[in-house]
Amino acid sequence: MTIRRRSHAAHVIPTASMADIAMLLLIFFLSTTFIRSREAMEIQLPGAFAGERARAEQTVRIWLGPAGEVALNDARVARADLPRLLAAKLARNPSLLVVVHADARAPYAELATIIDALKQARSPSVLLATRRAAR
Amino acid sequence: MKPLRRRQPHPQIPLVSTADVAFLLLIFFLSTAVFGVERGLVLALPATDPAYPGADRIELRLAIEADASMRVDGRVVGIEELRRRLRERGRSGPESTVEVRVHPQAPYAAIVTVLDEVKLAGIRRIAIVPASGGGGS
Repeated sequence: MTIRRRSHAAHVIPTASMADIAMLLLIFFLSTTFIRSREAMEIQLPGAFAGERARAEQTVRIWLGPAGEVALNDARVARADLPRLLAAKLARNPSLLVVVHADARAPYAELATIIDALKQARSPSVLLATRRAAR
Repeated sequence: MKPLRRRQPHPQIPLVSTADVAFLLLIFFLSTAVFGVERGLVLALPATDPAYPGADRIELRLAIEADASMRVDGRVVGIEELRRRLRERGRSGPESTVEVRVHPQAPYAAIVTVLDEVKLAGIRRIAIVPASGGGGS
């Protein structure tokens, strides 16, 4: 006597909700993405081996161009206004980390004025942004 | 005689390709997203009026000239020599203090190179001084 084969149910991966999941993820990415507009400042970061990493959410960025031009969080500012603007930002959020994106060709005198502004604004530390140096 | 009403199809928006479009956009966002991580050298800044370490506490004196050349205790050195001297000093303990005297026109890249070597040598105390004199930072 032959054993009758039971008819198997078809193996199907349910994909009905895939579109919903994709749409939800899409809405999440659309709502959490922010597009940053940067000033046209050509910055060549210097290379370093001993780089530390810091999360960028709690940072304030200072840009220093090769000719000494200064921008704060993507908007150009007068150098004289830098201590006041930084102090205001640090007063609102004392845990802010100041990141200096200075051009490798910028003279030290320009960087020194930024460091002085940071000290006036009572910033506890500074991160000098670098790129990973090639060995 | 009553005119025969033609049956009109239900108006519909075709949604068949919505999932494909959503997935394509999702893949685009996933592949182009950049997570904000900053990389660099962290320096703890002193108070506004820094207590400059006394001359007797400076264990190594470096200088960066306007042409990016480096001097250790007054003698011009290359990067290898600088690295060796800093490693020697770093082995004596992280409390060693290194003074870096920088010419105002020295390029920023040279300062980062020296700071990088100082950090790699395990030295934690650095006094950055403008070549014209003044307090440390």
